[in-house]
This record gives sequence, structure tokens and C-alpha cells, in this order.
Amino acid sequence: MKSFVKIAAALAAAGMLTAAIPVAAQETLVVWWVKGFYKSEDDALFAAIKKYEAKTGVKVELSQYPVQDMIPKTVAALDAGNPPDVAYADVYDFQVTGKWAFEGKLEDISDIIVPIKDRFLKNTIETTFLYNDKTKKKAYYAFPLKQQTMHIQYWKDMLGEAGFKESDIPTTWKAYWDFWCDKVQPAHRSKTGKRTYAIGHPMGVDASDSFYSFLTFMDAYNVKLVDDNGKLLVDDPKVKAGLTNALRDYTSIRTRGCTPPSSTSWKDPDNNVAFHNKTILMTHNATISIAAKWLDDANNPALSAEQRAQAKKNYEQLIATAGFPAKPDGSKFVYRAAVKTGVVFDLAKNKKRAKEFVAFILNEENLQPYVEGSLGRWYPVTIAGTKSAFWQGDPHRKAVYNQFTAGTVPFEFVRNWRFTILNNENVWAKAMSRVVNDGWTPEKATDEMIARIKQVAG
Amino acid sequence: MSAGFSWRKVSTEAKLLLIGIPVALWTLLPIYHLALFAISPKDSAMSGHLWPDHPTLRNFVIVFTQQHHYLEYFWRQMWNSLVIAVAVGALTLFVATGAAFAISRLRVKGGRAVMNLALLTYFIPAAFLAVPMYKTMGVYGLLNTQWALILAMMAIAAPYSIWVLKQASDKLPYELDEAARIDGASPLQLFRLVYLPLMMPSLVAVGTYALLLAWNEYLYAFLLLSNDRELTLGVALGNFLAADDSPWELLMTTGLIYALPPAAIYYAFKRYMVGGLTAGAVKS
Repeated sequence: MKSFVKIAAALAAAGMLTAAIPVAAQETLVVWWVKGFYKSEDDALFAAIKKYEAKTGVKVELSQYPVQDMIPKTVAALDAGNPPDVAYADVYDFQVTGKWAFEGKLEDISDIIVPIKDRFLKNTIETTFLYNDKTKKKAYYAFPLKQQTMHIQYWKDMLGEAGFKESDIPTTWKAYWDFWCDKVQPAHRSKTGKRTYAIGHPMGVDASDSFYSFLTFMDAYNVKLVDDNGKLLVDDPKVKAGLTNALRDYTSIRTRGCTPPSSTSWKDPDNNVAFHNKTILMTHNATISIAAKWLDDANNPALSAEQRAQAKKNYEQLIATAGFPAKPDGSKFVYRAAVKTGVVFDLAKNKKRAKEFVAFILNEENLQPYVEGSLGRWYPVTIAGTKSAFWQGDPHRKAVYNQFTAGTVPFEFVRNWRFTILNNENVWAKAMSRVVNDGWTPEKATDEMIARIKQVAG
Repeated sequence: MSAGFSWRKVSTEAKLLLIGIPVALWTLLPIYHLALFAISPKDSAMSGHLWPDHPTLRNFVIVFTQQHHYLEYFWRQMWNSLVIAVAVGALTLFVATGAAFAISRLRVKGGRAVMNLALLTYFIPAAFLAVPMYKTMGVYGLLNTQWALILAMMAIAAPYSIWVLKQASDKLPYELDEAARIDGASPLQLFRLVYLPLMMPSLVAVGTYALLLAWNEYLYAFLLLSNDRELTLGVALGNFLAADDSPWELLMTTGLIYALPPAAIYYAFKRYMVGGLTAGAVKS
């Protein structure tokens, strides 16, 4: 019996050791990538990886996570000193890329970006030129992959039910919001007997939609919170006035009862859900995911033929994608674009191959199918990508194309990474809450917001 | 008035019902909505109705046949959950039974101190140990292997299991061991022929506890496993929340299916659970 125990213990120890010792074999590259919204996105990524593996003989160990898990997972790996070689997530730009670059956690990938930078749209490549506080210099610490901006989506049939045509929609700022709020909503309610709301207006503290939408309202008033060097401009009286006006306009839609009361606590999916359920007639959203969902459903074999036909009709006939009205000063709207960025970590074990992989993925023949696999949800970062016939393929994509080609501006966090903190804590939605829930005046709520901006990003 | 009737009894029953019915409703309501989503067609899943106009089992077909992008590895991930949970249950039992036997029956020197030290780890919330555990697994090259999660869950489940088993085994008459020893039994024979049969209810309870702990684990599984093929189903369910157009009806259907095995295990071993986990809690 004693010998049996010894043998068992020896076998167990050997098993553990075997598991613990990495097998010397093929060279590997560890890649963490956000899980795609659609199968076609992931399929394009898998195809590119397969091509890379065939070309180099390197085995890519790909792990995919849902978007909300990417940052916790990457931060845990960084804290443990064991990050992946290459990582990409749709939320890195909003929350961590600038911070990681500032803290010196990212590898300078200028050697692969500089030779190809002319292929990219100017605003996208600018987003990845970041400051490293350790080296005290700016360099390309990230790579651009795709971008998004703000769109308006509305149901044409519901607008018709209210007795209006698309051509009735005003194009000036105040008239536009008054039209939806004061004309369409009462008309739709009286003609259908349903308790519908004109606008899906995200205001939740936990939603990126709410800060993206608010910052778009801020852009309408030409507010610049930082200069090109990231220095705060909030002490300028014009900035304060613009912020106050943006806050007043944004919250008035709620105080006038034109958005569902629950929109003050909406998370990112909630305006989509309300739109799909037809409890709202229009909403603003930072991608055309609302329309794209119906396109995806139209081709979903798991749905019945009737459901697919209805989804196709929704996408092709009933839902419209549009831009914002002209700014209050009458000038044309220039949209803010969020450029989605990936990174190579300073602690990466295989930096050489990581950079090689990034350069490979950024090749047009790999990047384009990946971006277009998202059914229009994401817009290309390369000049060639924008010229693809895909963007002229239907009215939704054409609308997206037109918005982007009119020019875009970057987020504040590109100039001053601390704005990622302000976005994470959503000072914008907190100010909305002050007005809507606490009854503060927009001026008072703006003062509090500016104080917080100065405290964090000053 | 019948002999069995008393107003006091009726009043007590009524009070219990007044408390019990709302508590039962409150507990069952989320489960009801889980089931409601699961039998609702996609276009009416979020309609807010208390019963769908056209109930369907189509969502179950989609899940079982892996027809959705997020369900590509449904069976594989269900299998992973099962393997990991069973392994954690079995290995925790192995370690805890041995430790409890050594501490309680063999009275190994320092055994009690070791058990108390192990219990001390519960002073630190498991979530705080996640990153150190991640680092440790990285050092041993176990990241993204199911062993990482199995060992981590064992580390979490073992102290409590040892304590429960030690308390339960303290209740066994020591004279049994002495009698067996007089008959010439070795410690291993004592363990196999005397200790294990008498401890069976507690062993079932502790094994079930460890199994369910591993089955329901999210944080460690999320951190230690990476590849879609290695993930447990509980973690993979997170994929459904990635999109702003989540297929809620499929998420709830998968969730409902995922909740069934632990419910079945619990009810199968329910009679051991209460007795087994509280054995020795009160000195007799």
C-alpha cells in the first residue's frame, strides 16, 4: 500500500510538472481581440490570421472577449506582468489607450505606422500619435482600425403615421428638435392612441451613448474644451456659455417629456431596444447598429421567412439614417469621430512578430473585409477603404459616408488623456441628472461640471 | 366548532402565508421572466407581456443546434463547465477528506493550526485574490488551461470543505478507530473501511458544494480562461452582452439551460446538503 501511495504521488507530481513546463514548439503570438458583433467580422479576422500564419509560420493564439470584458481582462494581465502581444478592443480609445501611452505601457510602433501613414485618413492617424510621460515624447503608440460617429435613425412609417413626410423634417437646430418634440409626438399619440415618444435620448450615467450624444450637442455650439496641446479652455466665457446652452438643449428634451422617463437611466442598448420596439420614433446613436441589426436579421437563417422579410423591409424601406441638423449658428455640422485603436504592449513577449502582425492586419486586403464585415457599423480608417463600393451600397451606408466625408473632429482625450477619466465617470450625464432630477439650472450644473473637468484634466 | 380549529392557529398560518407568499413571488419572479424570455419569439421578447402571444420552443432549437454566432461552442462550453465542476468537486473532496481525516482522526501535530490558517484565507475576499492567482497561474504556465481554474476553485473551496468535514468527523465515536486499530487496521484501512462509509452524507454535501461553486463561478473563469473553446458556458454567456442589440431571448434560454444541471444536482442530493453541511456545527 505504501508503495502504491508513493507511485500515485510521483505520477501526480509528474503530471503537474508536465502541465507546468511549456512545450518547446512553434513560435507563437498572443493576440486578444474583441468579439465581433457579427459573424462576418470574426470570419474576416480569422481569414487574415490564417493568411498571416501561412505566410510566417507563426502560430497566432487568438482569444476573443466581449467588449465589456476586454479592459478588465487586459488590466489584470498588465498588472500580472503578462499582457498579450497584440490587443484590440472597441473601447480602448475611449478608456485606456491614451492613459497606457502616458504611463509608458505601450510599445512605440512608429516604425510600422510612419511608412504607411499616408494611406490613412488624417484624423485617424492623429488619434494614435500619443504622449508618453516616461520618454517625454509623442509617438505612434497605437494603430487605428476603424471609426464611428453619431447618426440619427428614425422610423419613416411612424413619421407617416403622425401625418408627416421626411421632407417636413426641418434642417435648422431649434426647429428640428421642436418638430420632433412638439409636432410629431403629439400627432403620433393622437392618431395611434399609443404612448410613444418622439426621441430616444440617452442620459444614463452608465452609457457611452449619453456622453457621445451630449458631446455632439456641445459641438453644435462650437465648444472646444481643449486646445491642440491638451490645455483646458473651460475658463473661456464662450466655452461656459456653449456648455450651458448644450446642457439646456439636451435636458429640455427630457423636461418637455419627449423622451421616455426611463432614458435618464438608460444603458447603451436601451435606445436600440426602445427603437426596435417602436416606443420611440427616432434616436441618435454612435453607429448605425440600429439599422444594421435589421440587415443582420434579414440574413439570419435561424429566423422564419416572415421575420426575415420584415427585417429586410425595415432595413430597406422603413428606417432612415440621417445626420444632425445645422448648428444653432447655421453652419454645417462637423461630427466627432471616435477612432478605434489597438496596441502592442511594452511588456509583450514577442514584439517583433506583434508589429509584423499589426502591419499585416493593416494591409487593405485584410482590413477592408474586417471593417465591412460589421455591416456598416464601423467606418474605414484608410482612404482606400472609404472608396469601396460598399459605402455606396444602400442609403444607410451612403448617409454614413456623407457624414464622414464632410470632415470630422477628434475627441478631447486625443489631446488630453485625462478626459478618458471624465468620460468614464460621465460628468456629462451627471450634469444632466442635476438639471433633470435635482432641479438645478443648467448654469449651476455647468459650473459643477467645469469644476470637475478642471479638477481631473487641469 | 371542530376540536382541531383554533383562531390562534389560523392567525399564525395567515401570518406565515402573508410573509411566505410575497417572498415566494419575489424569488420566483426573476425565474418566471427567465422562462418567459426563453419561450418568447425574438420580436416579442422585450414586449413586457406577462405571457407571449405565440409561445415557442424555437429558441431552444437555436441554442441546441448552435445556430447563433455567440453559441458556436455551446456544447463544448457546457462540457467544459461540467468537466471543471466535476473535477473541482472530486479533487476538493480528495484533499478535504484527507485533511479532515488527518486532523480529526489521526490528530496530526499542527493539523488544527493548518486548518485555521486555511480558514484565515476567507478573510480576504476571493475577488481580491484574482489578480495574484492570475499571476501565479502565469508563472506556472497554466493560463488558459482548465487546470488553472480547477486548481483556483479547489483553493477557494477546500478550507470550508476541510472545516465542515473535520467538524463532522469529530462527531464520530473515537472508539470505532480504536476497535479497528486493535483488529490490526492500518491508517489507510481505517480511512477506507471505517471513516469513508460513516462520512458519506457529509462527503456528498461537500462534493456538491464544491461542484456548484465551480459551476457558478464567473470571475476566476473569466480571468483564467481565454480561448472560446476552453471557456465555461457561464463566462461565454457574457458574449451576449457585447452587442447593443443583444439577442436577449437566446441569452435567457441559454441561461435557463445552464441553470438546470445545478438545480437537478441540488435536488438529487438535497437530503444530504442540510444534514451534511451542518453536521458537527453544534456539539452534541
